[in-house]
Amino acid sequence: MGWLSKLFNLDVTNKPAEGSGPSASSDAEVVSSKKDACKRLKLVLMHDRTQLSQDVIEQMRDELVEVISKYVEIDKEALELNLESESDTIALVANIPVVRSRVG
Amino acid sequence: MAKTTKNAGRVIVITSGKGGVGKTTTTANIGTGLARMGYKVALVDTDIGLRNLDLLMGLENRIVYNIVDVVEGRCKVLQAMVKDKRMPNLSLLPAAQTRDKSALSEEQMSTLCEQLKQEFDFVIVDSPAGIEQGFQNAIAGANEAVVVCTPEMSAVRDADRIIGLLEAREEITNYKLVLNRVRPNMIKTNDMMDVDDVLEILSVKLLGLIPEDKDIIISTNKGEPIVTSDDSLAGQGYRNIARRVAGEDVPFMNLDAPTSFVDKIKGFFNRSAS
Repeated sequence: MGWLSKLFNLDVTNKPAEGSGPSASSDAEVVSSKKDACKRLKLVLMHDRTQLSQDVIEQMRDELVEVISKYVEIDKEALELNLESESDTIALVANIPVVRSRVG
Repeated sequence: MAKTTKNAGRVIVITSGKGGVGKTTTTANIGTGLARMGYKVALVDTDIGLRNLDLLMGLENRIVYNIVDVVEGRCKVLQAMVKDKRMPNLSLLPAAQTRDKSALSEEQMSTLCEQLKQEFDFVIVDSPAGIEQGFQNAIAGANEAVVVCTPEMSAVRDADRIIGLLEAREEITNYKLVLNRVRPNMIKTNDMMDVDDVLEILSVKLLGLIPEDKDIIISTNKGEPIVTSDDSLAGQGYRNIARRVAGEDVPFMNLDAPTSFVDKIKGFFNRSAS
């Protein structure tokens, strides 16, 4: 899936974004400081590499809500916008639960 | 001793971002390792004001001129090179201790490396910590880089910054990672990132692994790089790295090291044979 389609991953079932599922469950099985380190490092490096701080991402999130709300009614509280990495690429992944369409 | 080939030598910068991860130790050992293989090697210390490569090489009492004397024209570059005690094909261009990073420019460093690579097979440049002028000077004449990192979060994060800066530089055609101070026991208990974790996070190729080894401190005390010590695991790691730098295909060490005495003896003979 390209990052554009990920960005507009309109999904009424509100399932978690791809990739976040398996790692979250395996974290629960083994508690080790190594996993903490890897997880925290991956996150901080994505912010370092894209030079996007949490503040900027929050701002983007708010603006996205504004734009998308013009066309569909969305669950603003449940909207997630995160940086995710896959091998060499970094993607902005949005999960936007739709309540109902405003058009038609 | 003459250069082993007529081609221009290779200029390799050893860098890390974070301080204290083993840049200078790695420089001393890769350089000494290559010299042991018969190559003509120049070590260049660019950590002006905080020079230490001379100590690790045990050459601190032989320094007459330094890198700033060379670029300011007080002596010729070969006059400033301090010959190693043990190997005539290994020499050191020391940093200046009483000056600061601004005593050297990128252009001067570039010219210096051009000169040195006509005389030596390998020019190994020890970079200071940080990403400021000292680092920019160190990479100015280099075509290859070795990024030194330990399996700690801060070292990995800083290595990522350095890799970003190296990638942006066209002159650097090749860079690889040395993972230093690996502790197999902590990896076993999942309390230390292993080599695959670090390689994945940094998306970088591995040049070699060095286990945590108290003998490194002892070798530094003596001013004899550990690569010359045949029965040390860290020394073996550096010998492997030197061979890979020279283009040999050497398998990576298995650090899930044998622990019983008999296994150690077996391991020793296997290593010697390979």
